[in-house]
Amino acid sequence: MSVLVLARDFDPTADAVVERLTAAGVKVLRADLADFPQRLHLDARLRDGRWSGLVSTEHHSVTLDGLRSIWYRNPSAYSVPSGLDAAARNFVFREAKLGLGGVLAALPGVLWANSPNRCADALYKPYQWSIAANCGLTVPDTVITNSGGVVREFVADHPDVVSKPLGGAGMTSNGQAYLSYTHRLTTSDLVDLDGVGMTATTVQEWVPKSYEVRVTVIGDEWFPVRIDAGDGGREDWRADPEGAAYSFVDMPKTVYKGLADLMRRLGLTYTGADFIVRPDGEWVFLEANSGPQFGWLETATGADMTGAMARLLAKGLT
Amino acid sequence: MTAALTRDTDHEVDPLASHGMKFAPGVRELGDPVEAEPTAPTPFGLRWLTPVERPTVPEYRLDGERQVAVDPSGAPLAPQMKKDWTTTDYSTDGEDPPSSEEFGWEEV
Repeated sequence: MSVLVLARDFDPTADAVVERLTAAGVKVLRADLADFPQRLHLDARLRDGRWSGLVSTEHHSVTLDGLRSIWYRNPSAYSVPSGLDAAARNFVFREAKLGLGGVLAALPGVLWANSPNRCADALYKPYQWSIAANCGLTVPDTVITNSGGVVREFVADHPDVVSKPLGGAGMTSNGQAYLSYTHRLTTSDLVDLDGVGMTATTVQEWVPKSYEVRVTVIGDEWFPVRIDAGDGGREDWRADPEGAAYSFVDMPKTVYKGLADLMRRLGLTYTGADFIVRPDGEWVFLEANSGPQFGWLETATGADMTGAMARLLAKGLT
Repeated sequence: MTAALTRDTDHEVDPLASHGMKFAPGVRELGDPVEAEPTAPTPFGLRWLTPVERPTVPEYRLDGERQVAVDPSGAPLAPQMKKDWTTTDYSTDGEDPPSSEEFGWEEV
């Protein structure tokens, strides 16, 4: 049995997990999707309804019918051979995606951490929030609209609100990288709402916080870590990671059950779920990341998350 | 129908029904980039962007045999990594280009 790790070449967390698996004697193939088709080779054959064959690099290979787990660790996009026009580039990209991705997705009995299609589902936070509420988790009141008038109506009912993006917090413009942290809106922020109509705009009630929690779940191993924000991160702890303090925290059983149910409903094998704990002790669900980083939490707390991921991948669905 | 089953999941997943294909047109389909017009309103969610420095990626190569990143001397990179912000293109399904970027706090 073997493990396929799809990750970028520069990924210290993937390095650590690969080393742990190798040390345990688990056969591993690590590759980036950008290696395909030049340096990653596919030989997949369908016979009697089952795929068999090899995925290989110059140094390593795994058999398709021997794969136990696939770690989909934020690989980069397939590469496109040079010398092609736009139409041909789109064609080879699509065929790579449907061919390599389709074969891997078709393998029975393989544990995905996480399935890219499940990740695609989970990327939709409105979908997550709805399911989370159905799973018994507390979710902040939220409005998503392209109408400034609707935002004003929401603020009338919820005087203390934040603006937050639904997608990733990072972007690059003219070579400069930016982060869009959760922003607590002031009265002056709400004077001019012309920008609301430029796209779907998300405004959410401000959740008073005692502290925040990142719950990293890797298979059956749970790592709830309390995050006490630094002075510069009162609205969003990520704004001041140096000032944040980390410690283990006990989870209420209802939150544990709700998050476990949410993961089952979303089809996630591992996740990093973010909560705000209010001063009254209520845990408020923010989001469940389908490809969370965990190396920083491992270092901060000593939790063996690298080992947990290696154990999950080595165990597979058995 | 083939299906990819994830752990503890009782729902079948059609492996070819990628949301990236069905719903999210790539940026390349949105037309050529144009210069921002000063009169265009800033999207509400972009009003509070904070500039950040991209981390410096150390000189490395992937050791194909060991399957880990190594420095020019061949030593594994991971133990040398210090705490730093990392910026990664976030792609749910190998989109080209990726749908967005994620910044994470990462170290090993």
